[in-house]
Amino acid sequence: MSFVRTFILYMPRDSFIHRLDPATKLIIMLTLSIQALVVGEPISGAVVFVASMLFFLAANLPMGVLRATLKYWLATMVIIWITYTYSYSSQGSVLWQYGWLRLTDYSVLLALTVMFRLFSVVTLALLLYCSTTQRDIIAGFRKLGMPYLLTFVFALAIRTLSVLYSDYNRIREAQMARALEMETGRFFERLKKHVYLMGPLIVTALSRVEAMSASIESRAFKVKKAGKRTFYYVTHMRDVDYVITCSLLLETIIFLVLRYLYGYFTVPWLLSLIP
Amino acid sequence: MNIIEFRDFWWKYESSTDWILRGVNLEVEQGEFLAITGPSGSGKTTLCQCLNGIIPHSHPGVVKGEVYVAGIRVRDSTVPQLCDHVGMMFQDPESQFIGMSVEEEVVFGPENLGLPREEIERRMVWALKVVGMEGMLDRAPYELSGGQKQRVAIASALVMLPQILVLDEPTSELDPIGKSEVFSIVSELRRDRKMTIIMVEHETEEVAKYADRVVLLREGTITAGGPTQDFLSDVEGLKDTGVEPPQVTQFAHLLAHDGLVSGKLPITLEDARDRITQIVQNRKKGAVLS
Amino acid sequence: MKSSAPPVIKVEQLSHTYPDGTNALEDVDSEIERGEFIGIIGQNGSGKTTLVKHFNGLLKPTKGRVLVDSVDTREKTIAYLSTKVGYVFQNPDHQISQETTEAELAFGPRNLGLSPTEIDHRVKEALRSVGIEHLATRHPLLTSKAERQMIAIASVLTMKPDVIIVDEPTTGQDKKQSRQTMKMLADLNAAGHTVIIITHDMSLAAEYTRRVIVFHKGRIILDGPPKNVFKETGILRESGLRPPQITCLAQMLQPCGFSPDVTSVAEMYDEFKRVYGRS
Repeated sequence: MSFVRTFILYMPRDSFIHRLDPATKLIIMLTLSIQALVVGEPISGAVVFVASMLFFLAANLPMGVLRATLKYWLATMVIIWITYTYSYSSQGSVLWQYGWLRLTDYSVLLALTVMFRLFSVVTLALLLYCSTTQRDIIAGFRKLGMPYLLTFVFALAIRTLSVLYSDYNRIREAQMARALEMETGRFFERLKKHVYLMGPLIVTALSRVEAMSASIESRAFKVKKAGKRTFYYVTHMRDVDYVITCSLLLETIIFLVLRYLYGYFTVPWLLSLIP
Repeated sequence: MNIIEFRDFWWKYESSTDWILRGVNLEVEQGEFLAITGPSGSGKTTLCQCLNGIIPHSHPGVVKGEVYVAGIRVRDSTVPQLCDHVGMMFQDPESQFIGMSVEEEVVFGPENLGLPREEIERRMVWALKVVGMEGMLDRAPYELSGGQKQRVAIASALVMLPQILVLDEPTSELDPIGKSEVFSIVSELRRDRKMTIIMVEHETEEVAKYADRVVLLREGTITAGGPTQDFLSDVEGLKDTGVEPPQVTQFAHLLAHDGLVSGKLPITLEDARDRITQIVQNRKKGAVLS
Repeated sequence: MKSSAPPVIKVEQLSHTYPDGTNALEDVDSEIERGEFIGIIGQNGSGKTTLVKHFNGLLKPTKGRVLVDSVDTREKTIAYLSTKVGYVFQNPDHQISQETTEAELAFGPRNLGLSPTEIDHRVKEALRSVGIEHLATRHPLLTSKAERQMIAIASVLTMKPDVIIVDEPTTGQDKKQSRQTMKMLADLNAAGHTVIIITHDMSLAAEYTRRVIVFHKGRIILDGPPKNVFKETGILRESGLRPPQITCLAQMLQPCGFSPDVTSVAEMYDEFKRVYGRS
């Protein structure tokens, strides 16, 4: 089943990462993402990225997954480069100038940093989704303290979107069967035709929502916490999970202290290291 | 003993001027298999939803009269409370599936009830066995056929171990053999577990074999009802109601017109075969003698 | 029944594999003549819907080819093929996008770029053939389920297709509405349309159609007049199907001299008179 249909990317593999408790994987993703987003200069950014890649490879996941997303990375990278080099062109010392185009050391370094941020976050997200089943992801969030209602809504949203996507296809076919031309023609023309799909889609969505809500109510679902809900599916943390989680949390705290209290890992700090 | 009672029950949505249920009077005994039939749009689904309290508690509306389920006054109760007694299965299996796997789907109800994990596991295994879906725990909804989804939906209702099982057109997506299976599963449950079964169905052939009683709901009110044999053999009375008696009954009715069949018309295949065989053989005997 | 004219639909060694790898159809060959009234039956997932979706181009063959009016479906768009083959989907709510029934019926012809006078003419004609003139200005969503099914069929008629396919025309309807729908389809067939229905209702297929095609695991396992198809109880059972109840009765009464070639209550009555009169 395709990703668009089900929003699932899970790839079963025999790997160290796959065997970790989902909460641990969430911690890996969260701590490394925080560090990736907060880091201020490209060298450290690259380090975080390499760490993310190492985790990715440790999960035996095919590089093809990253390659598939590469074209989106490249497109975003170009945009990042343009925005950053332009908006920071007033800071720092000028490296190169041509007319009003100006490259400064600040702007180049920041553009590189943001690029690594993006790469890291995408790699970590893919790492999580490809190595963990949706059920585990939700169980992991719950273990980290997310309220049940939120995780339930999240899971239900995914399921509803998946069902609505099938409905969308069926509606599209039904309208095409009445000569609505959706296969040929310019992109915007075809986009405009979607107006004829909206009405039926909304009607169908509303009736689905009603049916789903009757279905969950009939099985004693309570919105207000009545306290005693059992969770049939539980995962267990092993020693290795605790080790990884604690070390990462510790490392992140140290990192944040160094970053914010002492200004480490920023562009000025990096430049100060160069003699 | 009556496990369900409707006493002059009226219902309409708050914003509407038309009453959907009008003065429904119905009594169901414990352990009964009741079939509800009637034209589309007559309020059958609404009637079902009164049984576990979705109506009136989850939809704003105007209520008159009373409904009692398992001795509880529905107006004073809540949906979760009534779910202890009533398991419900709806028409469209696609919209009912809220989990990402069969296992998740079936344990959802018991999880909400706060049952201990071992109990949940026991019930889940049993329910899936009853509907013939054991070994399919990990399957995702999109991997299942329409018939399999309907079976999972039945299991999800069964797993609540309700006293009353309500099924709203449970066989609409199924082929003939699938339809028979659902009816026989449900009938076994009634026998082994003394469950009361309420089923909304258009398929009179299977209803004829298994249901104790049939009622006809038209425009929100019960206009006819009685033991299955009586109800389905009233071919004249059922004309224009949107309910068709089984083909064998329609056939017997034509013969009754010619005076060839007397007494109650057959409503099942086996019954019809026996009666017709007898008629033909008697005729042969008569011809031999004369 | 074979005429010298080419079949309106010709299926040649058709196979279809879905992107996820499921083989929905395996090497299917078939011909459908103009004016036929066909019922396609089979378990869920046996390939029925997959097959008919090839007829208006919604699906293209992964192997083999489908000719509609002697034109290969791979060479034409769905919009073009929809003027030859009209497809009415199972759930009419998946189509309704206009505020009045008339506008809904005009949707197809408008997409075809026809003149307003021609569109108006076709809408009126379709309302009449289906018998829903009284719903002309009503909002389609404010009609009953059966009426919506009629509107869906009418909105396909305005495309003036030669072939009309209806997927599960009677699911969710009570028997009276089912008969109304089937009678309307029979009238359309009498007026010259080729009608193909997919159904789970054996008795309606037996009574109204003149040819039944049975699918099992992507292949056609039976194809012929209802009498012939419903005699094969063994083969049908393997595909999760059963003959209509009245046919089963006739089969059970064979020892008494009944012919098993009965497909409706009226036929059973005639057969009974024959057997009874002879004794």
